[in-house]
Amino acid sequence: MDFLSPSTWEEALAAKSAHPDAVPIMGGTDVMVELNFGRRRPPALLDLTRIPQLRDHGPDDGYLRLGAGVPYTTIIERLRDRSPALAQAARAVASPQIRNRGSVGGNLGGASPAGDAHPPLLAVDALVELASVRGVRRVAAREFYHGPRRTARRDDELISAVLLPEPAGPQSFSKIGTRNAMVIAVASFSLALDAQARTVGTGIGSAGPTPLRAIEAEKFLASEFDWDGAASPSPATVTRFGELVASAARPIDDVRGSAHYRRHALSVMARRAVSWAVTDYRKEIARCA
Amino acid sequence: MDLNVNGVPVSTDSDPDAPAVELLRDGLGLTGTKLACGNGVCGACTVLIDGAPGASCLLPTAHLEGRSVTTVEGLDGAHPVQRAFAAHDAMQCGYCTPGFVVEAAAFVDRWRAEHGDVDPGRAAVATAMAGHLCRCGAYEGIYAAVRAACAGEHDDPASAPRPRVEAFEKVTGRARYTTDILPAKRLEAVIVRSPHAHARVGAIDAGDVPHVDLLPDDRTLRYVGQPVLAVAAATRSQALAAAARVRIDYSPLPAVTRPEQARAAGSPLVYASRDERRAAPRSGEGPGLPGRWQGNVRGPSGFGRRQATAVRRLSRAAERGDDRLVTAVFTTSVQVHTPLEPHACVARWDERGDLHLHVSTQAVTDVAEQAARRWGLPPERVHVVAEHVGGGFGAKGRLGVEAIAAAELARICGVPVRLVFDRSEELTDAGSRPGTRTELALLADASGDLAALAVDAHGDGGVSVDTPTALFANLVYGTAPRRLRDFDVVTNLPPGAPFRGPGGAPLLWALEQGVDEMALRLKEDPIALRRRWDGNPKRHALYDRAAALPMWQRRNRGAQSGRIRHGVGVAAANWPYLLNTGAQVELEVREGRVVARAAIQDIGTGSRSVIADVVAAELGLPADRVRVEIGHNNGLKGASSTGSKTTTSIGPAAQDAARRLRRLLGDAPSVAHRLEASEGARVVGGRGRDRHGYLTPVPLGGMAVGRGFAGAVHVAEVEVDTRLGRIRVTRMWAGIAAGRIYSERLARNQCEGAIIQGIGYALYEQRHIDPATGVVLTDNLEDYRIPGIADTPEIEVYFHQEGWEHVNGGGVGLGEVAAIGVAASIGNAVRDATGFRPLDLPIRPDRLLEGMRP
Repeated sequence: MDFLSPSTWEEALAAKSAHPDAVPIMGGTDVMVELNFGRRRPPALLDLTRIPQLRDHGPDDGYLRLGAGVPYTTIIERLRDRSPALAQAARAVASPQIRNRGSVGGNLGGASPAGDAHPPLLAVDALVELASVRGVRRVAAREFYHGPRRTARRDDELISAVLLPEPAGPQSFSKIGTRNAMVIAVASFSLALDAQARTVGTGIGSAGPTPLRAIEAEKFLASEFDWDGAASPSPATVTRFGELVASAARPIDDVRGSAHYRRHALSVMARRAVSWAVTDYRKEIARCA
Repeated sequence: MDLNVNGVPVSTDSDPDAPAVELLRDGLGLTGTKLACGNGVCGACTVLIDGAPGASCLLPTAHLEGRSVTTVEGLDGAHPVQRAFAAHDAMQCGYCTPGFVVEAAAFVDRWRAEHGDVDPGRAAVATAMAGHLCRCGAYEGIYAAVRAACAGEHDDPASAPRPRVEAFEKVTGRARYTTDILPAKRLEAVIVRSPHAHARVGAIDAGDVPHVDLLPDDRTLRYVGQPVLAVAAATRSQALAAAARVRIDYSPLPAVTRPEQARAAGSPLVYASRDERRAAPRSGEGPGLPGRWQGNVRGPSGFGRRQATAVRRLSRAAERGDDRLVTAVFTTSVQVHTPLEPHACVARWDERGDLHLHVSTQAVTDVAEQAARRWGLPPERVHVVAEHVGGGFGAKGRLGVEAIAAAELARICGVPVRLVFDRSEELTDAGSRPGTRTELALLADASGDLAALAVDAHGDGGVSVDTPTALFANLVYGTAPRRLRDFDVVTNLPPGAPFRGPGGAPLLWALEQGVDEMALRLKEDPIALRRRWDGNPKRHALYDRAAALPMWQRRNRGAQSGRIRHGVGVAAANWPYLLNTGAQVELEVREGRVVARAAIQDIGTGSRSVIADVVAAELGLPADRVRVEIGHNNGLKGASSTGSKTTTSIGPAAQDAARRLRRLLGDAPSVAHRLEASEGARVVGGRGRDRHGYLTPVPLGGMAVGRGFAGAVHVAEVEVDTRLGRIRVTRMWAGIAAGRIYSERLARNQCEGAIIQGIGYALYEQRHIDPATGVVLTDNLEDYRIPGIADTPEIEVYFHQEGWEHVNGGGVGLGEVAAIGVAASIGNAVRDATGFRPLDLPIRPDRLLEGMRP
């Protein structure tokens, strides 16, 4: 197995172009597990840790541009206000050791449906920036996930960054795990409201072959939500939203949970997310008033 | 590539893609950093990279270039949190300890810098330590240690008392485990395992790689993961590559992977002939119970008292619809031992033909005897070493395939051979507690006394037989008529092994919930009912304590509504008292100190400390004048760390030896003053007999069943989220009646760990199989879920120390009795909170929600 260690972004893109089957590695939290147990033996690893700009973050034309290698710990500590849902998800990732090294880029690269970063990216309508020697393109996260561990990324492309829109309303992320201590998600859910556009975004994790949106639920809540006064939605509305989220999932039974339980947990998380959103929205109105 | 490790510049040409833990351990000899899960889940490999904790099993070596790495060795024993871990006994086997210590050191420093010297509380510690698993369950001590270090209580290097004599070795990473034995000239071995649930093996072509056949005599494989052969090469990755090249001719046979399927008529047979059945492995540790075979079912082995009366009373009660008849079918899942130190052996034959085995074992003397028999050696020519053992829980009690393969390969190759299981092997074929299906019937008479009891238990131990469960119902609740029948259902799945209170845990899951149900039917306090039914006076003392607990007194009565509900449950436990009657301790005066030797091992229970404490107390010596050497078969009669018998066997032997030494040296003015002048003085003490002898007239393999039963009562408090089906154990009280406690803090640590394992059994642990292939799906520590620190309730342990005056030394073992009733107490608490009686373990959220559905 080759170990490619480019020291500049241009070298990295050239290496990926020359070795499209090379597996990029940053924190190692996904890739090394497969190596340790001999599940995968890629012909080459492409080490991206020496490329400083992958750890950059800052404003970019109305977005927060987050380098693909920014560790979760940095998101939690420095970018909480600019990416509330993602920061909550980052806090839910595994353990301090893993958060110190794992990154959103790694989650996107591995594209495991259980990755904690996916639901917030879907909910806030983030963009994924893909780069190759051919150029740079940005793909909506909502168009990024194609199938089990398959994405819009082409073989010669590297994930350079994600772009998060300025928060324009309440955001949340919640996750049901398998025990009280550090856990992998049985199911996770993210909700983001956009008060200007009056739209609702959702993201579902660990409950389908890919991260999913609950589009019906989004439309439903957007039409039922009291965007002016944030009056509490009726119990029937909240219940219906939960049902729509649950029905958007495509879960299976596996060692982490049953399909039925996953749907149930999603409906509970979705209902709870609405009540948090209403509370946050009211606070925001009160603050602006 | 250059880096800095513990302040020292290092240059290396290691593989850039190999995990950093390999460089640290194999390359630099820094074996304090452990490799346990390979998944980034358990945290045993945690090191600091430029001051930030990281999992070195997931860190490519290349990423260390130019970095500064701190391992546990780099903390140098000088960090306050290391002193805190030692002072609060925040460890048992110690295998996870370096990882915890490194993470805790970073956390404590940061906490104090940000908040000052204040206690962070449990929640903050739980969050910080979320990436670490301790299979022994020493979390209570870890909480206490980290909190105290944050509060600045351990800044003074003048050492606080350490309850565990080897604590310093464990918190500094100096304690050497079998996996840490890395001879420079050695081969690494790996096992090639069956990909088939059932197959006959034809030709094997391993090429010219050194290999040893591990097939059973009939060359038939009966589960996925069964060893076929082992190969050896210079490095582990070369051995893996060689293993992948081995060609094996398999003829697959039909297989059964589910007990229900195995019981059905006409299903494929796991064992087709009498000879095959006779060769079936045993999951039990006793002599084995008899049983007839019918298809894949073996049994019953029946026990009881006035069985016909019991059956008649039960069937009549059923006919008349008696409300005082409680019947239910309970099930338990397969629970895997998964000690953090995997099964491991380093084998070497010396020039005289002696066999040297470093092996991670609970039984140095048994392994030595079995090895001597296997290789036809006189006992004194087999040298077994297990200086520190990273947990066992019953899975490391015999000469195992790791030792057999390593020794055979070492003989072929003429160099030391090391064989270490990876976590997938450890979770697949290294020991598990068989699952069970238990039919219980319990009848009370008009006065509320126990009138009849019937238990039919079917053990699900894969290819293994001998899973007695119902048998243990002979030992409880007086002499009422009872019929107790045990069956084994064999399947093409990995074999079981003894696991902490084998049979007791699944029986009590059923029986103690049945008793609870009866209390509800009789409208009687569950503790009061047990007190009436249970004649054991030692447990009466525990019932009285339990009944007076505020959490019991304040428990909710009547139905609750609302999302979050609380419940309190109780369970009692009874367990035989075993001992090694011949256990010996030798004392020798050397350089002004007393050196104590015993042919035992320490799997985390604190055997060294028991000997040290007894000898120091008897001779009036300070702790540093006694040194304990164990972990070798040194010619003395030992005791295996199984059956809760080490302490009760070795404690009195240490006492006897100390008395003999005192007599030899003479009393005046004190022993301490005479040590200098008594160099070389040597005595051997033995485990004197109990008053009234033992239940077993003759010791079997040195082991006897003593008189009396160890007892426990657990009271659990739970919080149930009825919307998500999640259960949290918030508080646990354990009353233990095991007589004299030799070392209070260590005994308490055992009981706390027993509760943690019981919580795992109750709520999380379940081995999953792919029924189509027989493959174990839960072969990593992400998906096989053992409890973490945040799953720890607040624990109180009470020791009732009377009632064992007939026992030499006054105390018996407690490691098992403290564990077996935990799940039932949680089940009863869940029933109390929700009205739903959980019948199936683990009590998963989906099961709870399903059960609570109106």
